[in-house]
Amino acid sequence: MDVLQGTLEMLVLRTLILAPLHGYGIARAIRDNSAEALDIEFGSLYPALKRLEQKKWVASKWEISESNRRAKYYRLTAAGRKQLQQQQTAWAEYVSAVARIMRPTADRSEP
Amino acid sequence: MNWRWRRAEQERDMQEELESLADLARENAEPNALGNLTRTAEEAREAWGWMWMDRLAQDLRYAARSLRAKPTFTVIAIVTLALAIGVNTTIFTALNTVFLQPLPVRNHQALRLLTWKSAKRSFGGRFLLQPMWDANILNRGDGLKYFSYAAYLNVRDHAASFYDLACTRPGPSVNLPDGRTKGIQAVSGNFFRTLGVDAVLGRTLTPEDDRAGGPAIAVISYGLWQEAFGGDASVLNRTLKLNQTQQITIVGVLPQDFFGLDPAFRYSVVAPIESVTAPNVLADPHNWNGCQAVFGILGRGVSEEQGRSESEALVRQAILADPPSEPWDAPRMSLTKLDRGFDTLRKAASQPFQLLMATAGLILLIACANIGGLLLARGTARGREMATRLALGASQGRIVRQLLTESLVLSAAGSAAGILLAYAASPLLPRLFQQFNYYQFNNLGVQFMPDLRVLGFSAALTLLTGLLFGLAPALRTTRVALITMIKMSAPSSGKLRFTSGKAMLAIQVALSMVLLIGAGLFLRTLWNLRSVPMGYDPGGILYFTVDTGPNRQEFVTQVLQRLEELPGVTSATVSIWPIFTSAPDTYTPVCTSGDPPKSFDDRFADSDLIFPRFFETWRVRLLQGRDFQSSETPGNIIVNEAFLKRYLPAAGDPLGATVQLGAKCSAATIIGVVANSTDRPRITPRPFVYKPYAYQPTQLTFTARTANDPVALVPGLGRIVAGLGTRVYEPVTTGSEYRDRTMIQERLYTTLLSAFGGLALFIACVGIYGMTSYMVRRRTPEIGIRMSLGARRLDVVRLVVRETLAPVALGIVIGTGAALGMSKLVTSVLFGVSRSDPWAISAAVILLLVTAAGAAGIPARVASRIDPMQALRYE
Repeated sequence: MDVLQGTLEMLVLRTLILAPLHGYGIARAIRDNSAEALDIEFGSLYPALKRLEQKKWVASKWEISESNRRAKYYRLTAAGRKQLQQQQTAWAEYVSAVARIMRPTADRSEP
Repeated sequence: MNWRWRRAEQERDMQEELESLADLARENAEPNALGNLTRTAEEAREAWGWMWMDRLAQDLRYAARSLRAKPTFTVIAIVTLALAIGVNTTIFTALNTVFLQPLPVRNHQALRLLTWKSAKRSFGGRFLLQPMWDANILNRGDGLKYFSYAAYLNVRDHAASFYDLACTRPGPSVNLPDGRTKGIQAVSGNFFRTLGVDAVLGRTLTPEDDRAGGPAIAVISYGLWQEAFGGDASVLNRTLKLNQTQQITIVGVLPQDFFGLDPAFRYSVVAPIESVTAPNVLADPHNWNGCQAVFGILGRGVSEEQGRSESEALVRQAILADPPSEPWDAPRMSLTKLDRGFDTLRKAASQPFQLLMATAGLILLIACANIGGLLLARGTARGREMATRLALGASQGRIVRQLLTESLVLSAAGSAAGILLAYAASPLLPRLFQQFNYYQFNNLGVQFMPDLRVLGFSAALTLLTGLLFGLAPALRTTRVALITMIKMSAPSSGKLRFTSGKAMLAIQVALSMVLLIGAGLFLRTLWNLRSVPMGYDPGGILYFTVDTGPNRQEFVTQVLQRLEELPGVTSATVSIWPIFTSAPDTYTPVCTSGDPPKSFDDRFADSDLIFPRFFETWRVRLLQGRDFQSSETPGNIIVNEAFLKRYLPAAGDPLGATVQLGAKCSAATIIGVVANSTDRPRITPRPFVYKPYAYQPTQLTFTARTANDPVALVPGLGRIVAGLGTRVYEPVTTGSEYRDRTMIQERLYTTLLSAFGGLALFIACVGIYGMTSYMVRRRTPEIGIRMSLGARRLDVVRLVVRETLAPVALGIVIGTGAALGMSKLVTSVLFGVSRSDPWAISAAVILLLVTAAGAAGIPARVASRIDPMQALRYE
């Protein structure tokens, strides 16, 4: 399933709220948490991450990973946290609005 | 460049991160999970926002490269722009200095000048004002700055509204170590405190210095310190000779930019008023030349009106303490801001500067049209290149931006050269102001140098110019490129006629036309002014004005003798002024039946004190009677025709007639009548009285007439004058210089318009040449075909020139119309020529047509030598 435009950044923020992660970790977390329904290309995810960093919603730092390697870890900033809350609210409203319209209808064309 | 470094850092960091992620992915047995990392990196870079910087750097590099590739075009464009921006920057430098810069003193914001108006001109027995200034003028202008010293002291000591109130007046002269003399500016002791000026060496003057019999001390200007004392710190405690007995000690040096209160005049030596001014001048309450200007700092929280009314009451009180005998009208005071100093220079410069700015603006527009035209021509030639770039995926916007960058690089380069030009030209600006009024502006206070405001102006001009000449060509080039791409060949003729290029040409010609017609009108004006009979013959005249010193009779006799001994000198004479100078002390009241004139508005004659042979030397016709003798009876006078007509209109022999002259209505007998003479061709001759000189005043003009070229005698005479060892008021001057000085404004306008007109013509020629060359290149195949079909060389030349002359003709028509409109600005300065003068217009038309044909002729000749075979192969 493709990810809607703009949603990707929200997903990245949502993923980082739990713990700081490196780029590959974020990709895997999104894939795992969506039970592999969302297969996000790293080619889209990484630029999104850089955009978030540019907006100062996430910050990055070089650290040693669990497998004892150097990796760049991203964490949510205060601004990012606030942004996420706003986006979650907006997303919930959006989903419920769409859901109301898209509810299953009784098929009246049948005789 | 910081951003480059930061950018590289970021790039390295990203590469490292991506590598580490790739390793992680491999460890997790997903080697392909990350996809194409190169593309990912490229997209990530977009997020950084460095892209525009990259593109700008790219554009700049590319612009520099493409400008280098066409050195001739680039040099022409840069030189044109440098001239145009240089002229504009220089004139704005002058404008900024004269109209915008504040006085270089700390308290300039708070300073207020006291001025007054009154229905009467006099507060005592003597004339306070020139009679020409009637009450109307008096009450219309800015008011007067003069006060009696008593009135000043009364306001200074009792006004609660002012922190400080200072007074200044011209003082006596001092002798410098190098033999020259300089006038002292006498100031009240609080003068420097009021302005907020500190000495750069030693100290300034204080109120304690300023008392009668106080120490004879002075401070000197920075300029004088450098000139006369070589900037030596030992100048302190050195002395200047005030007169035979008195010395004056230097106690300080003033800052370099300080000039005093008037931007038109620079102080040299400043001394306390009470120690250098004759006590009777200051003690006389009826002498309203006690202070030449009174200014102060309004107290905090005091309104202008409070300050005004309080000083008004105190001045009135001072007059009442010793009221004048004649009827008087109490002065009405005003407070004027003094943040930019007196307005002498601003007033003199405001009209000429309108013309200057207008012409400079025209030059800039011509330059823009010129470069715009050349760029258009180039743009068409570059259509193929741009088409390729479009085909390779560049967006139209990107190409427009690229071309605009090129224009801006060009205008920046031209501006840089122009600003350097302005720096070089600015020190020459005082000469421009001397042209407005030589006597007044030969010792300007302000110094001209571009400052931040000027640089800001030039930067704005640069941007504007770049956009102005670059936008149309950029848009057109892109259009050409699009068409080229579609047709897969450069458009050679037909569809894309070169109309915008021709329009640019027409604009240049039109603007040049305006300047040339202006120059023509002023040349005619000057010619007319010079041919007005002035009543004297300026050719062969030499004169100088000096101070005689104490032994007047001996001095005069000696100098006259030396003049007469000079080779070629046929006669020499002495007068106070050179012929017919209108100066304040030349006015003599003419009485009727024993009463001095009631109204000051008429019944005045100009007057001069003269030696025998004055009329012979200046070649003024003696109509009746005789010249003065060397020991003339004091009451005898010689008058001019205008005097007779005005004051003795009844027919009858004027010789021996008596008139009453002067404040005391002394009787005077007419012994001679001379023809009218004038120093101003625009003014009808006024009544004039010549009285015999009997060694009264010390300022004298010596005049000699020579049969030889007077200019050749100037250096020799200059040495004699320098050898006299007295104060020189005016150096050796020829009669023609004297006459031309009355046409200074007209001469200035003529010079400026001719110079700018010439510049415009040159720029337009370059434009015409460039445009025609381009056209020839574009039509080479066509010309080849024509020639192979039998067209002769002359036909080709005619074809090319005709194509160029069409826009030139259009420009001439538009330019003439514009000139007719714009010449309204200068009608008041024209003389004997209408602003639609057919001679000036046709001269400009012919000049332009000839030059245009010449400029187009060179490429046309090139075209006529095209080898038809080669031209056809071109296609």
